[in-house]
Amino acid sequence: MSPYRKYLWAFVITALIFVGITLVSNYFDNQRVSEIRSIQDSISMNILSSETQFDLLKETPCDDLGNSSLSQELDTLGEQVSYLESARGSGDAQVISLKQEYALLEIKDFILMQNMTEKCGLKPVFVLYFYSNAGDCPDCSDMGAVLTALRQDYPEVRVYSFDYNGSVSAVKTLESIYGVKDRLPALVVHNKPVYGLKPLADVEKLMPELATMASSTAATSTGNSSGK
Amino acid sequence: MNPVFSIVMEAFLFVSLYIQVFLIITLFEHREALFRSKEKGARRKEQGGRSKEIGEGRKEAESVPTVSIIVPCFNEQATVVGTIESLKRLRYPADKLSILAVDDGSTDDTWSYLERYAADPQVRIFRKENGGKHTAMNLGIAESRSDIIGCLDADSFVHAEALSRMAPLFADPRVMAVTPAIKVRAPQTVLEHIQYAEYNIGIFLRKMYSVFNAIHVTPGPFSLFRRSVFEQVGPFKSAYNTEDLEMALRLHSHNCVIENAEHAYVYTTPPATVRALVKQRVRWTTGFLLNVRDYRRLFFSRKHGQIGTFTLPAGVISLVTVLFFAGYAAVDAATTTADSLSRWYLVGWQWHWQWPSFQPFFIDTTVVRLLTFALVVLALAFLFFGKRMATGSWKPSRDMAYYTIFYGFIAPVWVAISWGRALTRNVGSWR
Repeated sequence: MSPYRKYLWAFVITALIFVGITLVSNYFDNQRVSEIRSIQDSISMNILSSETQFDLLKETPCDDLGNSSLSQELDTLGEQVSYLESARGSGDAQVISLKQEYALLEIKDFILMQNMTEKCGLKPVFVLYFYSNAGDCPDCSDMGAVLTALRQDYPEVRVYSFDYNGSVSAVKTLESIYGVKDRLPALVVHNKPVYGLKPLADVEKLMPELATMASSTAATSTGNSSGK
Repeated sequence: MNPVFSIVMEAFLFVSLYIQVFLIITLFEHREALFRSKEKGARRKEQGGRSKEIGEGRKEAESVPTVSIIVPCFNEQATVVGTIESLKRLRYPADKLSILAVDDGSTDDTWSYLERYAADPQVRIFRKENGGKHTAMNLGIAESRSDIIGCLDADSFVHAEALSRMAPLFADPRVMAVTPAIKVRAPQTVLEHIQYAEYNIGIFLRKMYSVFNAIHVTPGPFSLFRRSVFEQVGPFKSAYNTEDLEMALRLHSHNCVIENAEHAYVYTTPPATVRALVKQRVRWTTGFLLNVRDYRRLFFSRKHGQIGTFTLPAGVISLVTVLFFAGYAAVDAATTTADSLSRWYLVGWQWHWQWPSFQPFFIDTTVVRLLTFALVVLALAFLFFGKRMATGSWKPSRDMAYYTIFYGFIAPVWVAISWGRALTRNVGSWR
C-alpha cells in the first residue's frame, strides 16, 4: 500500500473507532436515563399509593403505611441523578428534566412524611439542603459530603437536596416558605434557614434530638425513616 | 468536565489512536515479521530471503564486506573487556572484522584494560583527550578503511550472529545504515524488567519504522554504516549529546535508507536506578526535541519521505500528549487530595467499610474514558508484539506487568524535565 493511501486508511479506521465509541457512549447514557426514569416512575407510584392510602384510611394504623424503603430508593436516585449531572453537565436537557422530576418527588415525599409524622407521632428529622452547581458555590460539594456523612451516622435523618437555581416552581415555593436567601450552601433545620459550610459536629448541634437516636453503628437497617 | 477541555482531550486521544492504527496497519502488511522470530538457532531467511548469513561458504565469503567496529570508551573499566570479547566472538570472518577501541580520556583504568589487546591483530586501541563520544567515533572512522563501520557502546554486548544478520542488508546499494534489535541484558530488578519490556516494544517499533524508511535513531549499541556515507554527510557531531539521533536525521536529510535487522540482537546494560534512568532519558528526549528542531525542514517534506510525515510528528505529538495527560492526572490527584483533607477536617475520620459494590450504572462510559481504554488495549497489543519479536513467544511475563503498572508513573517525569530543558535549550551533561 502506498504510504499516502495508508495515511488515509488509518484515518478512516480511526474515525470509525471514534464514531463507534461515541455511539456506544451515547447508548449507555440513554440506558442510564431510562433507568432513572423507571426508578422515578416506581417512586412516584409508591408515593401516590401511600398518599392514596393515607387519604382513604385516615384511621389506618401507622404500621400499614409501608413506605419504609422509599427513602433508600430516593437516595439511590439522588446519587444517580447527580452522577449523570457530573457526566453530562448541568446544562444537558435530559439532566435538567430528570432533576426537575427528582425535586418534585422529594417534595412529595417530604409532605407525606410530615403528614405521617403528625398522624403517627413519629420524630424524624428533616433537613432541606439548597445548593448550586453553577460555579457560584465553592463550598457546596463539601457541604454535600458532610450531609452524606450525617446520613451514614444517622439513617433516620431525611435530607432533601434542591438545586437553588433549578426552575421547579415548587422548589421556589419551598424557598419562600422558609425564607431561604441566595447565600449558599443553605440548610433548613426545624423550619429555620442556616447558611454557610459547617463541619459535621456543628450540623449535629443543630439537631439536639440526634443524641437520643441510634447511630449507624447500632442501626440494623439504613433508610428506614419511621424512627420507631 | 469543561466541554472545551473535553474536546481537547478527545483530540489528543484521537491523534494517539491514529498513530497506533497506522502502526497496526503497517504490521498487518508485514505480519511475517511476527512469525519468523527465533533467537535460538540459525535463521537463514530472516531478511526476507534477500541474502544468506555471511560466512556460510567460500563463495559468499569473497563478497563479504570488511567491517570495523568502533568501541568508544569513557570510564568503562567494568564492562569494556566483556564488550570487546563479545565482538571477538561474532560469527564473521576474522580477517574481515576489526575492532577499534577508543579511550576518550578515561580517568579510571579503562586504558590498562585496553592495553591487554595491544598484541591482538584484530583489535586496535587508541587513546585521546576527552572530547565526547562523537570525537571518539570520528577518530575511529578516520582510522578505518573498512567497507562498513559500526559502533558499540562499551556497556553493550552483541549476539554472535548479530553482524552476520546485519551485513547482508548492505547488499542493497541504497542502504546506508543498519540498526539492530536492542535488548536488555539479563534483567534482575523491577526497573530492569520495566526497561526489558520497553526495549522489546522498541524492537517492534523500529521494525515497523524501517518498513517505510522512517527510523529516527541509529542507536549507539551496534548500528552499522556504509563507510562512504560519512564522506557524503560528514562526521558525527555532538548534537546535544545524542549524536546517534542526529546522524539518523542527517542521513534522512540526504535521502539515505536506514534498515533494521530485527533478529540481530544486541544486549545493553540499562541504568540501575530510577535517578540514572531519568537522567539518561532526559538526555535522549531533550536531544530528540532539540535535534528535531534543527531538522524541522524534514517535517511534512515529501522529498524526505515518512520520517517527516510520520515518525517525527508522531514523536513530538506523543511527547505533548504525555505532558498533557500527566499534567491532568497530577492536577486531578492534587484536587482529590485537597478534597479529602477538607472532608477530613469537616467530617472527621469516617470509616464505613463496604465491599465495593458493582453497579453497572456508575461505570464510566464517557467518550474520553472509552477512547483511553481502546488506546490501552492497543498499547498492550504492542507489548505482546514486542515480546513476540524479541523472544519468539507470546507468553505474558512479569516484565510486561511491571511495565504496564509502573512505566506511566516514571516516563512523564523525564518527558516534563526534557520539555523544560528543550525550551530553555539547557542540554545538561552526558552522565
